[in-house]
Amino acid sequence: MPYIEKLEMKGFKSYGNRKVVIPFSKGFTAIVGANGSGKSNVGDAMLFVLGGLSAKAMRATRISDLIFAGTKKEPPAKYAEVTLYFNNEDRGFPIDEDEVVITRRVYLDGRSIYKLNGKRTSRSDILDLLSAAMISPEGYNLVLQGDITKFIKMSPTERRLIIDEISGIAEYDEKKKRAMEELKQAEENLARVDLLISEVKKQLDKLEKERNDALRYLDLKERLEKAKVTLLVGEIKKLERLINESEKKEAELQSKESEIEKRLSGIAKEIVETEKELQRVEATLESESGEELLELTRKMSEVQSKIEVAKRNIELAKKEIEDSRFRMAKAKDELKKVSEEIERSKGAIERWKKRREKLIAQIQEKEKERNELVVKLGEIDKNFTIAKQEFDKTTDELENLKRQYYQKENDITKFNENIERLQVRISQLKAKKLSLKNKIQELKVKIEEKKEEQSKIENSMQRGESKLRKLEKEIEEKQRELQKITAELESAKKELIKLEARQEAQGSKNRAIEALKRSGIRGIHGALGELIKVVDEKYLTAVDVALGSHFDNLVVEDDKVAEEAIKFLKRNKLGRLTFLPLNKIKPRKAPSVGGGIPAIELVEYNPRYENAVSFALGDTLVVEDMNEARRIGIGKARMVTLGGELLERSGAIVGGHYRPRQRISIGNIEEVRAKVQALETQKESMESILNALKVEHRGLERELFELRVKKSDVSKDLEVLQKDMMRLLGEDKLASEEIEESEKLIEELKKRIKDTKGEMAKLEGRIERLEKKKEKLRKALDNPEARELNQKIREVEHELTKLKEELSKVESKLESLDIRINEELIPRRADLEEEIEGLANKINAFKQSITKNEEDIEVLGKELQKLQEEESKLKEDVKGLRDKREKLKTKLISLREEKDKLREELQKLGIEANTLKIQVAQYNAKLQELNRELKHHDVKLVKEIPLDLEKLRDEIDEMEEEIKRLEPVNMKAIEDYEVVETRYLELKSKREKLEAEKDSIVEFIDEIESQKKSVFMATLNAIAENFSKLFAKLSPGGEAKLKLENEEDPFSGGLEIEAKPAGKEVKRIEAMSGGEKALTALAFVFAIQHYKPAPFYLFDEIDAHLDDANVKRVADLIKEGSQTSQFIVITLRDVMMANADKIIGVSMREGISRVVSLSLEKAMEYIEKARQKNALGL
Amino acid sequence: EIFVVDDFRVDIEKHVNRLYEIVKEAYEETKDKISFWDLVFDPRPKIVARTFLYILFLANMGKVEIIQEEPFGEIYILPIEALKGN
Repeated sequence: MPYIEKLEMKGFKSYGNRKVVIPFSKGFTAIVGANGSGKSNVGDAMLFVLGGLSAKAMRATRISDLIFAGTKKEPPAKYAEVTLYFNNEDRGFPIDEDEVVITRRVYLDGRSIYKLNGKRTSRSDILDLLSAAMISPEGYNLVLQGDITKFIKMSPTERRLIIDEISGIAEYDEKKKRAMEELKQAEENLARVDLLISEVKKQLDKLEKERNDALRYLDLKERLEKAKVTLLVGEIKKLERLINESEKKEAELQSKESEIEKRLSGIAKEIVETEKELQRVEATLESESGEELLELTRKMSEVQSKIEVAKRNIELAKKEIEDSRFRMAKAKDELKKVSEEIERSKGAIERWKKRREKLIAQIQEKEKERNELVVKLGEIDKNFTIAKQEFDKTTDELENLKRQYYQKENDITKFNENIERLQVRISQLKAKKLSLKNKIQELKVKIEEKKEEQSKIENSMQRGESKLRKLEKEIEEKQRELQKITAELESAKKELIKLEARQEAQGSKNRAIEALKRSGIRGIHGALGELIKVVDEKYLTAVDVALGSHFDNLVVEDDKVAEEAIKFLKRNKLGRLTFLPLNKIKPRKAPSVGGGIPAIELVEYNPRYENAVSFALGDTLVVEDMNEARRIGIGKARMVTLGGELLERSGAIVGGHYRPRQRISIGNIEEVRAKVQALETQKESMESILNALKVEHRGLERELFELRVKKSDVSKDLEVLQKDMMRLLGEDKLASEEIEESEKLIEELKKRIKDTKGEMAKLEGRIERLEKKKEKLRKALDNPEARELNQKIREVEHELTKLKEELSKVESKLESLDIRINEELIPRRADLEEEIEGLANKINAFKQSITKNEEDIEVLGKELQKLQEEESKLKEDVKGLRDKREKLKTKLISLREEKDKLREELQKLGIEANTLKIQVAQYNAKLQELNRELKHHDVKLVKEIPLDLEKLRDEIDEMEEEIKRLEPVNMKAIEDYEVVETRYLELKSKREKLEAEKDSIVEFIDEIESQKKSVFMATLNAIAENFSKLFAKLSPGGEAKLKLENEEDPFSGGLEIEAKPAGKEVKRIEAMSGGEKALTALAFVFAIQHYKPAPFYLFDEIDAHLDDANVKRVADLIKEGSQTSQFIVITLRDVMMANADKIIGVSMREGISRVVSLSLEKAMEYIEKARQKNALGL
Repeated sequence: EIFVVDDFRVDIEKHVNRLYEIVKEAYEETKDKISFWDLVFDPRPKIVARTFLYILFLANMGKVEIIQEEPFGEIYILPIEALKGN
């Protein structure tokens, strides 16, 4: 590989006017020196001599700025010249010299001259030569100051272009370019041939169509004849078969008819029987479900109410018994008390009697004493005796009165006690009455409710019954209606079948009209003949004849529709038609002659078609026969006889046998069909209404029955409630009577108290008077002599009075006791005893009643059970009957349906048979006609008769149409076609050849592309591998790789660098520090160098941003790289310098740069020697 | 950005001046030009390179004259003062 041996500069930048030589050698040379001493000018000089054009790259404004500008001591240079000496011993430059010397000189005017080995040459020659040795002024191997990041900053595409250049794929591009030119030529040739082919093809296509038409025409002609004969024979065969079949079918139909008739009579019988059965069942059902069940239910409810009453009686009796027992207990209690009191009173009387005896004895004693005293006193004074007698009398009277008074007092107390007792009784009764009143009230409410319910039920029943009657009436009405509808439907169906049969017999209609109707053109009303209807069948022939060809006249809305329809007919080759546009067609005048009926009056039609119908029939009269026509005058009007003779106005008469086409309807089949449908719908709806009504009827009956049962329940309840009410009212009345009585008694007692009190007051007055009299008497008795005696007497008398008072008290007590015993207690006891006996009797009676009622309940329960059983049995019977009824009804319906169906079938069969007969006649006529026609054709042509004659007919039509379409036919086209075809095929084969040529070129281009890609990829892969390895070496722990933007097609994208310095996240390359960028860029440069080393590398201060460790790594790499390439490194770093083989020192004195060179290898040797010398010397 | 600032950079002026002192002393002793090798006290390439660089700095500062007869030939140093003095 060539390398720089030395660099000579003269007048270049800071190097002054003298020639400065900088020696280089293989390996690693460092250029060092202080900033501004001119280190970088060495790099600039190299760029300059290699043909650099950019002054900026050499850090100058203009290229002439490179010329030494002079100093204070030295003049400026006239030109700048740099010479570079390359060692070419290995012939890296394609020149047969050991040394290649390149010189460039630039003058002040900016003009440059170049010399190669001393001979003038051009820049481009220099550049060519340099590029042969892989050297270029813009090469990646030249890294100028601050330019190390250019590999980072450059676009991915620029970066990829570097790889392109290194891999040398330019030669493929050249090959491709040549191939593309060939391809273009081939495509042009192809286009030319294509043009020719398309011309010939056009011609050929035209001829082919004509030839095909000609061939087709011949073929069609032949096939048509064959088809026609085949059709004829086929139709004859078909007719014969049809006649045969029809006859057979007729016989079949007859046998079927008789069969159906037999079946029908059987069904009729069955229906009658079933109906009888149904009636019987319904009658039974009516009686059982209605009356019997109701009666049963009534009985049941009666028994149930009896049971209820009995239960209630028992309850009542129990209550009464309880009540009586309570009362008996109370009475017994009282009786015991009364008896005790009697005993006690009797004891008291005994005691009081003894006391009385004693008192009487004492009184007698005292009287005796007093009498003695009185006797003594009497002896003293006679008057005194009289007074004394008076006094005694008074005293006696007084005593008597006092006793009476006490008696009265006792009486009052007794009366009061009685009153109190009565009042208690009254309040008890009142309380009872109150509770009774509440109960009565409640009962009344209940009764009211029940009554209301009863009346409601009765109302519902009434309503239900009236509704039921209404329903029955309605059902009857609807059934009548249904019968009417059914009858109508029957007749309509018959008519419809007749009409359908006739329509069937009419055979095919006008094809053109049918096609138009289907075409979808709006405003087509139909053939005139279809739009009218004959009023009476007897005019059918006459009207048909009168219509003549007008039958097929097509009635349309207006002339535009007609035009459209005509276009349609033309387009589809469907023949011709006459159109009657309603907006244009004019009516014909009626003939003004006497007699005949205007034909227009014998038809019915939609008034819209008036003019069209008039146009066809307006001038025609229908006459009875030729005689009538003659009467009117032949030639005076257009006339038609009923027999079908036509007498034209011109006098022409058309006549003979006329087979009516029967195309005119007597009735409109659609109308009849609609009518049948409407009637069927009506019938169905009527039937469903009837069904609904019947269901409603049944529901009402059931409802009414339930209401009857409910009513009897309610009335039973009501009866029981009313009985209760009566009982309660009785009790209430009793209580009221007792209260009244008691109140009367109280009144009486109060009166007696008042009377007694009055008597007592009287007694008091008398007592008072007597006391006063007694006092007066006693005073009168007061006699001094007798005082003592009197005193004694008074004392005795006082004692006596006391005793007598006591006696009278005792006596009154005795008397009252006696009265109490005899008048109260004893009668009370008797009363109580009587009451107790009565109560016991009552209890017994109630007990008996309970027993009886219970017995009754048992009997009634049994009866009820029996009734229930009977009811359920009856219900079951009814259900059975109902089921039977339903079954019978269903059976009837199905029988009737079957009957209807059979009838219908029978009718259909009849019509069918008729139709068949007509058909057979038609077939025979047609058969004769066809046989005549067959004589004109060659029967031998027929080989096979297809089954589908209709299709054959269509085919014939198609063939005829096609033949028409094909005419005129160019028969010469058959030959012409072959000539042109040959030419066409020749051109085709030529085109194929050209195409193959083109394909092979395209294939070649593809091959070049793929080779280019594989070469590029090999290069890139090797460099990328180097890059990753070198980056890892430069940035231990870091990772980096080169990545294609587009892996599929590398040339459509650029080359990306992905770097991850040690210990950092993946970084965008722009975000890296200067040092990191420099390391990445250097890894890239060395990666390339390792793959394909450049002859030399110039690095200007690539280590500016690196720390010593990194500089050391870079320096080591450079050292390693310098084994294969020359490295010139401008640096300030001692670590870098230390790795260099040679060091060029640059210093500046007085504005001029000077150079000193130092070989570190030699220096080492020298220092080593000196040290050894020193060592020896020491 | 973190720079690893080594003592060489920081003390460059000090080192250059010291070298100048040494050069002057050597000149005072011999009154003759001084061989570059005499200034190299440590034979490690780094030190040699550094010394070479300081000499260049001194020359740039106008303090010494570097004399070399031929490429890679012997390098001699003379203080400028001595020249002026002569």
